[in-house]
Amino acid sequence: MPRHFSGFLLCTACLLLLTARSASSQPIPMTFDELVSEANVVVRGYVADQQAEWIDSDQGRAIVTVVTFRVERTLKGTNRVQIPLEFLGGTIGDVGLRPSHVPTFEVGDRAVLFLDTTERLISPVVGSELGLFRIVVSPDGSGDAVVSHNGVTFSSVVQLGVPSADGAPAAPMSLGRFEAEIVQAVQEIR
Amino acid sequence: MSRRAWVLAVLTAVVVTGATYSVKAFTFTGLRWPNGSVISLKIKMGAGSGRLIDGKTHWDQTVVASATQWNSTALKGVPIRLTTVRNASGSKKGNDGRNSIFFARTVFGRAFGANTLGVTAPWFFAGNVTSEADIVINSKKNFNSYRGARLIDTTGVGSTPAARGPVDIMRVLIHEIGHLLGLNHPDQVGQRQATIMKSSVSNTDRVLIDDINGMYRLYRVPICRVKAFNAPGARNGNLTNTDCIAPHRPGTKRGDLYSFTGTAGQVHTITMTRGTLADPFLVVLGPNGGKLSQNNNGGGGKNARVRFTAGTTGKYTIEATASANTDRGTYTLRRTVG
Repeated sequence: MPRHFSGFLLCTACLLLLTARSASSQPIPMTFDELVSEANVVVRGYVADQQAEWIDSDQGRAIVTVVTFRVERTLKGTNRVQIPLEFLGGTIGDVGLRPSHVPTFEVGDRAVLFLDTTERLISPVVGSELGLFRIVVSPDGSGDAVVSHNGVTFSSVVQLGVPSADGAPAAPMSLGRFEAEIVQAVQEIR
Repeated sequence: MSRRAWVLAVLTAVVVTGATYSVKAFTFTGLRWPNGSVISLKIKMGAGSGRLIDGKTHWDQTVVASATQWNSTALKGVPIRLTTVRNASGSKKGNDGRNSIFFARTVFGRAFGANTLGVTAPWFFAGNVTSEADIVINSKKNFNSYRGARLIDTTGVGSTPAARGPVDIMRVLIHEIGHLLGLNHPDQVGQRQATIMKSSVSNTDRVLIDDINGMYRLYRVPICRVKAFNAPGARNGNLTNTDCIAPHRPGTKRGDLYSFTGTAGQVHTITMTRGTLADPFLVVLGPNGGKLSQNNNGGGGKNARVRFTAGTTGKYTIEATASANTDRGTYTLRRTVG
């Protein structure tokens, strides 16, 4: 069952939870237009399952986590019911690998994902984690809203990829408006 | 304790901590090296070609300098250390018991993807104890080594202005070493001030106070509470054993930190006059976190005095400390403008 991140603006514990579940690396900031153009797939959905497994590579053995993402709506790319997404990192028994800048999830998490599925990456999310937008409950109770991968709210997509100043956080953009922006941007680059 | 007293105590704690420090300044990966760890970084970066912008002639030097930043600031006060081995032997692999730093196109066979500059891959065991961490830098990206604002290449070669310019590899390495040590992105808990640990590369090119405090908090030593000192005047202080290790002084001197906003062109005079403190020592940091000035006895006798002209408008930090590791006691700090 999909789950909302409720009350994140008011709940410090929720903010900490979001933080603990996001791993870390260092990307160059990306604008909204860059996210749209770099992604071959943009979907909204939720995490239905995830499994960690060992892999072998020329750089040694590692752990990856395969996240089954159930698609609620396809905004760019071919329609599909679900997508398996492989992320570097995970925990098997007592051993774990926690790479920086690779997002982690829990079953039930809802998100809009900008994905690059054209090759095997440390994270299929564009910009490692920059293309992850978590779906939360709008604090005014008006419905679903989105926040960026690092919990930052934004009221306009032009704010993405630019440094945010100190001060009162912006009211989060509604999911519907965010998806409308994505649809328009996808049409414009065709 | 009665309910009323408990509520009052909580509110007082909130007011006191809110006046001196933000709880949003740092966050953690959840992993930690054991106390006493000497973390040996095996550097396999290669020589590169030519001279880098800051004069370095070998990529290994950038790693050594990055590790030195952490050792000389945050790690002075905590029970772990970094060491470096240049031109380290062995293959460029992970999960082999060595903490390797190298360029590669992939991480465990997986490509980096758009705009990702580097990755730290720490391994841990039960109890979230770090056992090994490798840092892999994306060899497809255009790197150099320089300080200050990010360079934007306007030649039109890259896809966007932000992506075109050569990236300063040192700030990437310092950031990734921060992850290796156990720090994560403070902007993920709402912090908007500059730190080297912010999630995206920026104009910040060095370890800053919030990064230092993150390490102090991770290893449960006193953090540096920065007190606002915006209005010129005098403040009485007291260096005690509950103060933090002064981040910008060698050894284990204690420090009290104060901040004020300076306007470009203003002349600031700061004096630290001894009370029971035997020999005051002043350090002033500029808005970029770099050491602007320091002084021991320029204020007459054992007193310290710093006078400088603000080059840029921004937040300046005073580190009020002492000349000797064991010196504790009262002092008076004065700040005048003009």
